[in-house]
Order: sequence, then C-alpha cells, then structure tokens
Amino acid sequence: MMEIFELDILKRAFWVVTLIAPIAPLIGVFLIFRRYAFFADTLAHVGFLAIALSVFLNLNSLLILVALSITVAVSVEHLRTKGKLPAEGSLSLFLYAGVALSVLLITLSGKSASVMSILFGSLSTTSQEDLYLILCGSILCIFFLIKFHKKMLNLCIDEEIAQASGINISFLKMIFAITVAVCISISIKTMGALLIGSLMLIPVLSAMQIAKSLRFTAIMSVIYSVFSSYAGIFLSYYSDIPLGASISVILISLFIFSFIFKRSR
Amino acid sequence: MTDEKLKILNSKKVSLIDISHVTYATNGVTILEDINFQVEEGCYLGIVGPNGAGKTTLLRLILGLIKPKTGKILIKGFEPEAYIKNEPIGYLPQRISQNIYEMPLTVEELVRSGTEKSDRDTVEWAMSLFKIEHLHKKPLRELSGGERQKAFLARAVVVKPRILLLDEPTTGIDPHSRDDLLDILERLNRDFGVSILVVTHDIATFTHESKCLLCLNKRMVCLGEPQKLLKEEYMKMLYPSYVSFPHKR
Repeated sequence: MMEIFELDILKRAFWVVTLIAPIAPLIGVFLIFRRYAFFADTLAHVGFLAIALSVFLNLNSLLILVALSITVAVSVEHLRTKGKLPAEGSLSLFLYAGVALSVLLITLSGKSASVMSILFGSLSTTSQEDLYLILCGSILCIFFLIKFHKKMLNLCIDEEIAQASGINISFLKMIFAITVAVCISISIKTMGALLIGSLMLIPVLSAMQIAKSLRFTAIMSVIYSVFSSYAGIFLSYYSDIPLGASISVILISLFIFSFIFKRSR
Repeated sequence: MTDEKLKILNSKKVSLIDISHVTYATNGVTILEDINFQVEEGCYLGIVGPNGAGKTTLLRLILGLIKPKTGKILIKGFEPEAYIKNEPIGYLPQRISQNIYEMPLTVEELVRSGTEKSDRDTVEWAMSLFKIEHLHKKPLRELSGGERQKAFLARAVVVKPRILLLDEPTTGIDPHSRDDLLDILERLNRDFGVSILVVTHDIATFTHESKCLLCLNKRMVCLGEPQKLLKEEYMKMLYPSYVSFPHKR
C-alpha cells in the first residue's frame, strides 16, 4: 500500500488535489448561489478545446487552457452583461463550439487515444511544470476568495443591494468569471473536462443537505471535497478507473449519504 | 470623495438629495417626467402613487442603478455612484431574488454581510434594533415574511447609513409586525437622524409616520405635509377611480 507514495506521478497527483480540492468547492458555493453552475460546465468544455488544441499543436496545454478559458469567461460575462445574448444562450454557444472544435482537432491530430484522459482525468497527465502553474493558479484563487468573499456574498444575495452598498458589481462579476476560469483550468487535467464541475458543485450540494449556515456549508464542502479527492486517488490507482470518475463516484456517494442523513433526522 | 470633503459639504447646507428636472424613459416609454424636489437631512418622506407611477424607478435613479434620460440627481452634491462609493445607502428592494432562500444563510450571516468590518457589536446592535437577535442562528428560509423583512432591514442599517431607501417594506406582513416595523423606522429617523424615503401603497399608515409625502404619477402630483395632501382633489389626480365614502352623521 505504501508504494503509492513513492511514485512521482502519484506524488504530483497528491500535490495537485491538495491544492485544488479545498478551492474548487469554495468557488462552487458562489456558482450555485448565483445559479451559474452551467458556467462551470461551459468553461470545462472550452478546456476540452484548449487541451485538444495543445495536442494538435504539441504545446504546453495548461498555458493555452488558462488563456483560452479566461478569454471565454470574459466574453461570456461581457455578452451577458450587455444583454447581447440571453445568459444561457451565450453559455450554450461556447459549450457546443468548444466540443465541436475539440473533436475536429483531435481527429485531425490522429491522437484520439488521449480523449479518455482529457474527458475523465488522469493520475499521470500532470507534469512538474504544470504543478508550478497549478500552484500559481491556486494562489490567485485563494487571493480572490480572501479579498472578495464578502462582496461575492452580497452579489449572491441581491445585485441591487450589493450596488447600493457601493460594490462595483460589473468589476466583481468579471473577476469572478476569471477566477472560475483559472480554477477550472488548473483542475481539468486531474478531473477531466466532463467531471471538473462535480468537484466544484457536488461537495456544496452535499454540505447544503446537512448545514444550516453558510460558514458550515463552506467548511463541510471543503471536507467532502478533500476526502473524496484523496480517496479518489487510491480508487483510481487500484482500480484503473480514470481519476475524475473515481473522485466523482465518491462525491456522489457522499451526496447520497448526506441526502439520506438529512431526511432521517 | 474624502471624509473631509463630506464634512465641508455638510457645513454648507447642501440638500441631502437634489433631484432636478429628471426624466426617465425606457424602450420609448416615459416612466418619469420632469421630477423636481429636494430632500433635507433627517427627512422621513413617503412616496405614494398608483402602480406604474414610477416610484420604484425613482428609488433606483437615486441609487444610481439606472441613469436619467435628462436632468440631474445629486446626493450631498455628488452623483449617486460617487456618493455611494464612500457612504453606502441602506436599501430594501421591493422584491428580493428567491435564490437567497435556497441558500443556507443565517440571519446573523445576512446582517454581517452588510458590513465590511464584521464588527460583532454593530451586527448585534442591528439585530436587536429589529428585535431579531433570538433568530440569529436561524436560516432565512425558516423565517416568516415579517421576520425576513426585519432581517433585511437589519442588514440595511448595519453600516449605519445616513439614508435609508425602502421599497414597500410592509408588503405581505401582518398588522402587528407592520406596526413594529414602523415604530423602529420612526426611532431610526428620530433618534439616529437617518433620512428615510419609503415607497408605499399603504397611504393611511405612512400618513402618520412620514413628515412629508410625495404623490407621484409619472409626474409629481404634489409634495408636502401628509395631512394637507390627503384630500379628495389630490387623491383623484393620483387615483382616477378614487371614491370617497361619506362621513357618518
């Protein structure tokens, strides 16, 4: 059992989940409270495109991923704020464009074997260089959470109340979109494009089953996320299930447990 | 706008809110036309009018949430956005997004969200002012309509604002809770000098509470002391289908 801690790729996987598992659900709290969970899905599918592009061009995918995700996040927020497209409509547009172009690029590159790890995550795709980028991204996300959590809470409560409190909501929405993009970019190689949303959203939904305050929801969601991520590494290593799928299965199990626990009280 | 500048402005006796020749239109429909009035510090102004009279729009203009087509709104001599950056305005909108009741947010967390400093004493003061301190650990979704309204009002006053804008604060709450709430608002105005602007349909109640009444129906119908304005001629201008019942002999 202990040999798992001696493999370099697994050590990196442990480092990655240690960085992303506590952050993802804290950002997910605001996505759920703003009813913006679909945004995470759209950016994840754009992430699929970025990885497909890097496979096609043989470049470092994480840099492309961060750049493309931020561009899309800013564009979606811009289109939404200016009312040029309906909110859900602009998200759908980018989501389907991301998937269609990704499939096109992967087919052209002739490396369709890599699709599984892109979609469902992998223990082995994170390089040492990626780890440094993930560390930088995590620091950015933590900074956002510390500096803006109260303003974000006001934005979730009511946009007009937030504005009357002197909060620049356009600026706040934009940097939140960028932070979500960064968070997804740094998590996508581990969790996979289809399952990254689960790490951001399911721990929060599980915590909401048993918590009666926001503070307790945040604490419980981090505990669920961290536990599932570490357990997911073991499950993935011993069962050969892709890492994102392993973590998601444990997250779903915890949700069911919390759901039943709430109703049995 | 620095605090020093604000102090200087206070000494020059600038109106708290100065609305001059404000017109607002959206999608080619005029909502407000040529609105002109000033509000002095410490006022308690009731804004009444039929549905679609532009009452909520007027509050949103004062908050800088929307811009007038023509005319100017100044708060202490500053544009609303510039004023609010330095000095938040307590605001209770007519409808609060239902999202919030899905959130596991407690009364204390809601009230605390109104202040950057998270000062425990101020949060407790705001909750005790509205007599909801015993509910501090309760999630909002478990509260009654009146309790929710009080929780949002406590959030609005936790920053100790100079101006409080309330859009139909007594809608959907029972007469006892309404009287309670009106007493607290009067106390805030009388004891703490908070200037209050209330949009309401509840004319009878606010006639006793407010020091001044603005009757609005896209244009200003009248502005003055409530007892003088609540006459049949004004009510007919405000509500064309207004019928007065003869007094008992």
